[in-house]
Amino acid sequence: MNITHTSRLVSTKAVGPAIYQQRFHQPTVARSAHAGQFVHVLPDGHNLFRRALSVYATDPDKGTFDVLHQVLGEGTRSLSRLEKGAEVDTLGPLGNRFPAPPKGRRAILVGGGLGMAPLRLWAYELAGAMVKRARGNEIDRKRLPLIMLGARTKDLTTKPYKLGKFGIRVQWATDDGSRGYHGTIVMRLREDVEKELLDPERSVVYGCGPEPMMAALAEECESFSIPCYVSLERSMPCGFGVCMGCVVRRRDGSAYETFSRVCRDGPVFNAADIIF
Amino acid sequence: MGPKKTKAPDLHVTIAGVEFATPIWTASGTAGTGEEIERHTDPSKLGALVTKSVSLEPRPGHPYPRTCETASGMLNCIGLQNKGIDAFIAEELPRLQRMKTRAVVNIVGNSIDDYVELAKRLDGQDGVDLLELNLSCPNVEKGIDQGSDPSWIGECVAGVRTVTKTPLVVKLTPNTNNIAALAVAAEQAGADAISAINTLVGMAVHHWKLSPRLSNVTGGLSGPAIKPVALAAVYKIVRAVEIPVIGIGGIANGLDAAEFLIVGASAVQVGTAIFRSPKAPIDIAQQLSDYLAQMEVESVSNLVGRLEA
Repeated sequence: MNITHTSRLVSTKAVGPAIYQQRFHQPTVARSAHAGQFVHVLPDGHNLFRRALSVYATDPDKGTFDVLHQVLGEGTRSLSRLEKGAEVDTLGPLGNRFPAPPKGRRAILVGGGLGMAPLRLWAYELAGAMVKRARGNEIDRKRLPLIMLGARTKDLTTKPYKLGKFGIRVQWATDDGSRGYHGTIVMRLREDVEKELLDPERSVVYGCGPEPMMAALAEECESFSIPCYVSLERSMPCGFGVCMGCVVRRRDGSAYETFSRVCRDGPVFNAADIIF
Repeated sequence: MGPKKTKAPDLHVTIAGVEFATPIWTASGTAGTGEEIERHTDPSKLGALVTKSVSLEPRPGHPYPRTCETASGMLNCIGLQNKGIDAFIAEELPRLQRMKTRAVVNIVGNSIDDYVELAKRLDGQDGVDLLELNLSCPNVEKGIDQGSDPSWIGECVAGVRTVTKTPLVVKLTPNTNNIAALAVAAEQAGADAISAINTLVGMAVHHWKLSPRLSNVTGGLSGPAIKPVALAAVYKIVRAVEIPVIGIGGIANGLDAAEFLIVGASAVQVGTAIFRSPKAPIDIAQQLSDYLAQMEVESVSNLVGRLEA
């Protein structure tokens, strides 16, 4: 499949402090990208390399896809300042996607910061599939994916885009208690399991967020025997598997497979297969 | 009157008796062993695919972080992650044989014995058009010490020469005060061509975390930042040896490639630019063709060494 495209900027919306939701017109990506996959966007200016951005939303009919990013450096700054109609060089969709929930398990999507982006698309896809399967009948809301998001403080809690129509619930945890649970979202998950609000035998966790958070999440899930898949973030020079830069250590590694490439073998991994 | 019909410039080059469709090759470590390149571009349009270095034993490579973007360049300390020669021959070589492109297999070892053994294993294998000896990896213990010693290079190349009929390209380090002497040593020991340059040793520091940005502290610098260094190295080497020189270092477009050819390189390798775009070598070949047409040079070999100085 051809992965080299030109994407045209449709809109830029500020959705938080230095956080932008950008929509690009690129029908191939819009129709073929799935939750967990990313696009590799070449910013204008002096950057040598692309920026890897998770796909946040897609509209196959309109041929658009959305990304969510925070201005952290020159590359993201120049992206945020693109004018409507500007064209950017894009590779994608790249990487693997979230695997379907094992039978009888409800998807619990646990995110931190911009890790929310691929989880939002995953919730949308899962809920959309439930509606389709229901063929016009009422869906069982208790089986809808549950989104659990963590942030440092209330100002950084960006609401996931357009999930209201499915009635998907979002639970929050903030470090300072300014929104939702006071503590980390992983602590909240543990309490929910201990209080039997969450049944570990009927849940599967999908995580995306800062690495220490993913490590803590993987540990909790392991202790409760909940299957856990994490989407990892890495600095990625190439994004399609040749530079070997964006690696993660494997748990079962033979000599040459001690490290896997996050861009090509991931970014989604079974947490049991990797070492944080 | 229609537009003037001109024949497209001839991009073929012949190096060590092997003909290449274009002088634009991939550089070792930037195109794997062809799998990803084959997925995303048409490999038949490459002059040659130079494989990622293969060693006798599998190597895990260094932990993350292995790369860091710097001003007009990048640092890497991949650490030669590869599956070893046995798995290479069993799993990768069949693809290289099937792919419609020339294959240059890059080998790396810790000792002369390693290089000799690797060359022996690959001798006579279908699909290996050239062997490139990586005598210059900055991410290998002793890699630079050995690779900047002309007598060690001479001994290594002579040793490999006795066990293989495959033409040998010797890839040199710029981390030396006399790269021309290294090239001469390689030529006298029987090398068929020189490729230069490998990466320059460099470092980047995280000023808030007070830590190195690479897991191995130092790494190899590549990309446009090193192009002037590479051009000067090629300039010195072509004056010191008779064998062809393959230029490497920061080539990002057809005009960059042309500059190396003008200085005297017979072909070039494109590396870091592939990370920016998998199509880079193919785009660069087209840009070089356009440049030659504009310069009214019919064949790329007529550009080689045209520097007026």
